[in-house]
Amino acid sequence: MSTFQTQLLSELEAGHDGAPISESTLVFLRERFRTRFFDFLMTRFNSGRACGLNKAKLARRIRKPPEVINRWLGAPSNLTLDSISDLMAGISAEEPEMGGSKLLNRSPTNYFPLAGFDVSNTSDQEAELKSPPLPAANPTSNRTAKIRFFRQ
Amino acid sequence: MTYMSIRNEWQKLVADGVLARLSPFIGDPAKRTVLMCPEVEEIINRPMEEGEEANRRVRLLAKLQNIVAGRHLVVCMTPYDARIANMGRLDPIEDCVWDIRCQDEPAVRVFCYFLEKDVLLAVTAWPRSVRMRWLGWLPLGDRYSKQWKRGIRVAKRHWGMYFPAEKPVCGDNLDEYLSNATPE
Repeated sequence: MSTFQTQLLSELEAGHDGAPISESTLVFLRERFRTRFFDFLMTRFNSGRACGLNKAKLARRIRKPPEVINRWLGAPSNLTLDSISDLMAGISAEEPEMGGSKLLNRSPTNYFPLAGFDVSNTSDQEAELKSPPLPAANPTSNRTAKIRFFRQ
Repeated sequence: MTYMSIRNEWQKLVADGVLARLSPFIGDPAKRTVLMCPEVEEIINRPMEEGEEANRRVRLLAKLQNIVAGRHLVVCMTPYDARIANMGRLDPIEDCVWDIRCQDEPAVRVFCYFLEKDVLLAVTAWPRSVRMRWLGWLPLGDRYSKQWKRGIRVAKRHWGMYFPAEKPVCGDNLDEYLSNATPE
């Protein structure tokens, strides 16, 4: 775990009466939030493309010029709550379902750090088994968008 | 066979502490692997006072962890054509050097190679246009600047140092580099 991540968790653990959370921690979490939401929207958009959706159709559906769609789907920093609502309506006729997930006390998932691990006698086959798995297939066609960013 | 041997080599370099492997944010999956040369690892882990530079550094960290978590990436395969891409192939393409494009201002570029599909080696991080004290290099500037060539030379030198007998992933097929990525 990086030094920064350790600092982040200890700041959050301090609770409501703790010292102010550092600016860099807040910036980091904002960046994560934007990129995760952007990833969610792009996944939905790419699923829609398989059914004939394109940016021009999306622009027409939500009454926006094509250049606005390009901007919104171009970078996470261009999203706002209003644009997210419009995009979800136009892409998949959905709205986000609200929920939170604690940042503290999470279990690591499939991360295997390797540092200090003896790989000198590892066969090719074993090496393959220890590498990170390929991503799972792309998401769902659920009509309700349940935003579950973390394993429960 | 080459594919397997390079995997053994990078795993050995990580096990020996020569290269560092970026951990995902706790709870996130590790669907891709980002390995860091000492320069990048030092940038990510060095203590830093609060302020604009620390904020920029954590946005870079979030960007790299985003790659590790396997989130969607937009990739530009044609040098100089990138506008919104998260990653781009650099000129000359025969060198197989890429950059991770951290576009939010002030922009940062991380020179990298693909060791195999979904496994990146982040070699060195440079400011794009504005000098940043926490990055040791002068800004890259426009596409014709000497700094770009210098950055690629630095990347190639590192590759030769860590993987003298191996070749990075090359070619025009995006699917050989990354999963969950679309071309710009």
